[in-house]
Amino acid sequence: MLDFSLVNVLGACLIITSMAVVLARTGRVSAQLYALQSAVLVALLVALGAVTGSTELYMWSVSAFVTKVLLVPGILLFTLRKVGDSAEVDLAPKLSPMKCVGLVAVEVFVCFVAVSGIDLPTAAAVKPTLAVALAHFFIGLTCIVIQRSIFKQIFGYCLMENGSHVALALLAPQAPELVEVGIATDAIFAVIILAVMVCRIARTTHTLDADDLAELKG
Amino acid sequence: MDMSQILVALLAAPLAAALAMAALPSKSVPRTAFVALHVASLAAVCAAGTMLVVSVFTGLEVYALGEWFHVDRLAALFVALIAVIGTCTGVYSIPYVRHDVEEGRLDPSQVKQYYAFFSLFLFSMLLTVASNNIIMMWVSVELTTLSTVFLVGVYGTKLALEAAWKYIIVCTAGVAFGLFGTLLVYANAADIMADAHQAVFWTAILPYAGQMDHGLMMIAFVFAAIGFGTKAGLFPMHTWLPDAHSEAPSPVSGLLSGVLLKCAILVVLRFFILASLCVGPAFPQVVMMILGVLSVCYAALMVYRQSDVKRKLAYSSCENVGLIAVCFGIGGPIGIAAGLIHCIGHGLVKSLMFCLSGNVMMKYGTRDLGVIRGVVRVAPVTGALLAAGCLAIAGFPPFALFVSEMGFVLGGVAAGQVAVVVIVVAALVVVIMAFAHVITGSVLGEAPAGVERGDVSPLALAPEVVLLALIVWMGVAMPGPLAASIGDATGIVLQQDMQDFAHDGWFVEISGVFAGGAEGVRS
Amino acid sequence: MIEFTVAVIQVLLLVLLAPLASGVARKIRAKMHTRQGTSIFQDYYDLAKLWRRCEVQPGGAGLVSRAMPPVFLGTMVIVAAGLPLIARACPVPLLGDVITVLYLMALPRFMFSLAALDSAGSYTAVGGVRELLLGVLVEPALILTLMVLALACGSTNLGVMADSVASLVAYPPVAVVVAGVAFACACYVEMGKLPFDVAEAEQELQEGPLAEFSGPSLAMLKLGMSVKQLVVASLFVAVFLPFGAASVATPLGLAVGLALFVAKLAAVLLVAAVIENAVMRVRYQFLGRYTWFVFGLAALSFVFLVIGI
Repeated sequence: MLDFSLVNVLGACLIITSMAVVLARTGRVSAQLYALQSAVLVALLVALGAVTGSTELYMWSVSAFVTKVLLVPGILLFTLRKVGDSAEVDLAPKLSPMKCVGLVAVEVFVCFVAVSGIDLPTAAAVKPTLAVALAHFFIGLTCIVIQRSIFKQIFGYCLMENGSHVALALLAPQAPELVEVGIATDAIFAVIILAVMVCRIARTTHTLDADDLAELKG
Repeated sequence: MDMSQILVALLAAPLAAALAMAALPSKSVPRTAFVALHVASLAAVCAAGTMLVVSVFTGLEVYALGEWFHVDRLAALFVALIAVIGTCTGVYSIPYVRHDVEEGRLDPSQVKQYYAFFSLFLFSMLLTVASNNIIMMWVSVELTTLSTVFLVGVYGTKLALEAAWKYIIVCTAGVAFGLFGTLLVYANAADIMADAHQAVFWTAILPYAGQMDHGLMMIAFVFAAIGFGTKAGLFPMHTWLPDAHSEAPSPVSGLLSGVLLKCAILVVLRFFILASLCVGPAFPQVVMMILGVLSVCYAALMVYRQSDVKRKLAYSSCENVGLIAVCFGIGGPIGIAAGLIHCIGHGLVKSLMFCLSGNVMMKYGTRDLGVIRGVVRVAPVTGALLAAGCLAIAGFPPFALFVSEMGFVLGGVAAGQVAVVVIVVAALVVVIMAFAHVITGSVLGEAPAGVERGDVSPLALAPEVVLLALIVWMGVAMPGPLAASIGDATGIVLQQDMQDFAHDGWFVEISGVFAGGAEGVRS
Repeated sequence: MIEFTVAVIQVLLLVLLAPLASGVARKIRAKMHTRQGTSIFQDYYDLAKLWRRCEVQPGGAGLVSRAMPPVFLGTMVIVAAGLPLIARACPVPLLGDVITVLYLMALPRFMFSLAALDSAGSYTAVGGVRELLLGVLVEPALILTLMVLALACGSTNLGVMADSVASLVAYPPVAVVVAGVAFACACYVEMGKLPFDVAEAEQELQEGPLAEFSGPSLAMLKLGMSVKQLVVASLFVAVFLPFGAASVATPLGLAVGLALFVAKLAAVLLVAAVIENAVMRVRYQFLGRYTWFVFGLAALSFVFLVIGI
């Protein structure tokens, strides 16, 4: 069981949890599901480390655990508390659940087709998971586009970051930790600033609806 | 002094200033302290930048912190751009912020925020152009977004916050694409190179670029072009640009439009060089051409439609960045050189125009071009500068953009891309119409009743005069070292020695156009 | 010989247990609504009572109305005979093919709707049309998930599929799991329990197609509908939860398989009963939302299959 098929199975679980994050009704549930998704990501990094025998990946999984499973959901739940009652956070997305699921399925398929053209020795056995990592970009983008609540758009960005983490781990398992730490730190700062902006917007305009915040046009 | 130390000082100075300003409490410390720190930071950047650029132009290539930072001729052009425009807009910020505090648009406590983030912004841009580590290049591009978000939203109105949100979401999402492209390149390089830890450094990857996997490099370049193209304002990822650049304070808009877009273009260029070495120049050029032509056509039409002066200027930035991309898409020595000259020229022109729009806003209190009339009667110097600036943007001689646009046309025809040239020239004609309309409608005409006559303070006019002088200088007789460096930078982009083109009669003729003299471009 | 016995046991089991299952479900509903509820054997008494009554048919009803109840019950019995419930192989291989099963399950629905139209009553016609609507919406998901499983296991025979899943040979695994989840949702819709009992809406003032039947026909129809619910649940248990079914046809193995099957079926029905009593009936215009979501899940499992995860 401890071979690349475990990695692929975890990759599929990643897709399922990402879909759950996109479809979740309330912001609180989204944050918790994101923590779950990041936990699956950490498990995937550990599995990959065990399979490729790369110690850097174990270090990465520790830092990924701290930043993605603990820090980011913590920051987002804190933001929810700060926003409190000043604006409506839980708005329904613009696309019905079925269309979301269908769109995700199409994106995963397209990414798989795109990835099958890549010929990289480290990636040969884990092409399905590489397709999953690439698909996460588009799933994150989908989340940003279809969500009406700008708080939930932050999750789209976080999903994109998760996708690039998995891609880095798959393609370059021997990379020095500094690379991964740099990317993770930057992601944390971005999430913090996004959260601060959400708080300011909620305080000033009393709305988190992206349709309300679309006055600048043309 | 050792140039690598100068480089480190250049990066450290604005960062230190920003941190110092952040540490000081805003309530008890007087405003002048922050202004003083701001001026100190600008002076340091200007001084260190000048020393560095002069030494690189005279033949040195500077490395710092091992291989983490690297300033070659290409990067030196952009360092010079950041130093000059940063200083001018920084000096312009002082009367502008003072005016905003008097008007009540800015809280006195926000002054500290403004100056601190300004210095941080300068630091992040310098980091982007000087970095040799491709991962750090990405991190610094993200940092530019993060450091400017609060500057864009500093006025705190609903529109400003909306623009800031759109800016941060679109740019971080777009730049994440760039990260994916970077990772693909890094993984590919780490596979091929003997020492995988060297695979992060652009200069180390360069010799191995020819051996990389073609499919992977094509995907990586497309991702990098889309990702960092979002930051540069290429269509269709430009949606954040008009909002962010119009809602930000004018000096910040000038810096964003003039310099930040060019830093993003530099990062795209770095990947363009790698891709050209790997799969040949045809594919990257096609990608840049498509993005560029779409940007130019869409933005030209939108420029014409706008009645808000800053949105007009913002769309004009989109259009110019598209033109730069088309120049790189045409390729060859003439196309690339024209693109680089346009980077510099447009940086100067756009920051001039945004500062002037700031002056206009200080006098009229509005950005609506329907209300802004008779500027030359209300504020004569501003009016004259505005007229000159509009002509400069439209690409008239003797201003700098005329040189690069002529270079584009000649280069395009020489490369056989006549259809592209015709389309882009048609779009440029629309832009000329739009800015001629600004001159006749806003600069000339009857001044409205309620506006106070008399120009703005000299401190708010001096930077614009300096910028205009530079634009005219570049357009009439480009200084020899600058022209030579542009030639060498073109050589870096093409990864060829410029000597190879000395025998090409076409090229020698056209480079005479650039330098205002046949001996201008040193081979 | 042993297969014939197994088939007969399966049929008797499902037919005899069906009224008990619906009685228990009714009791659970009563308890969840804090009522006493009727005895769990009430359905047996009802069937016996109905069987003794004489039959009345509306004037315009023809052959279809007379033939429908036996066809309904009979088809369900035939399907029950062919499923690999107790053992990991189909007792009647001819009936064990997934395509055959799908067609055989479509036949009673078709006859049901036809009979509803045949009686020319307005409410019954509406009920029949809604039954067809439900069929159209849920069958794509059923077919797609079963096809995914067939591709994963390499055969359309239900017994081979059950064997592959039970011995964890089915590849790729996540596609099978997601297909299982989608199939469970589709089966729940197919069972016609709340919130999806659009055709035979028991809580409405005027019942659906069942209103036009009486006596033995009604008894067969009621029994047939209960058996259908059991058969659909058994299909899910047989294909996606075959763990414990006998791999070799020894009497001990079959006995163990029987006991485990009854236990699994009871668990599935218990979950279904709890869910059904927590929701209200969906408006038939919004049926599409739920069924399309299930279809989306099925499509996702298909994508996983193609990718190879």
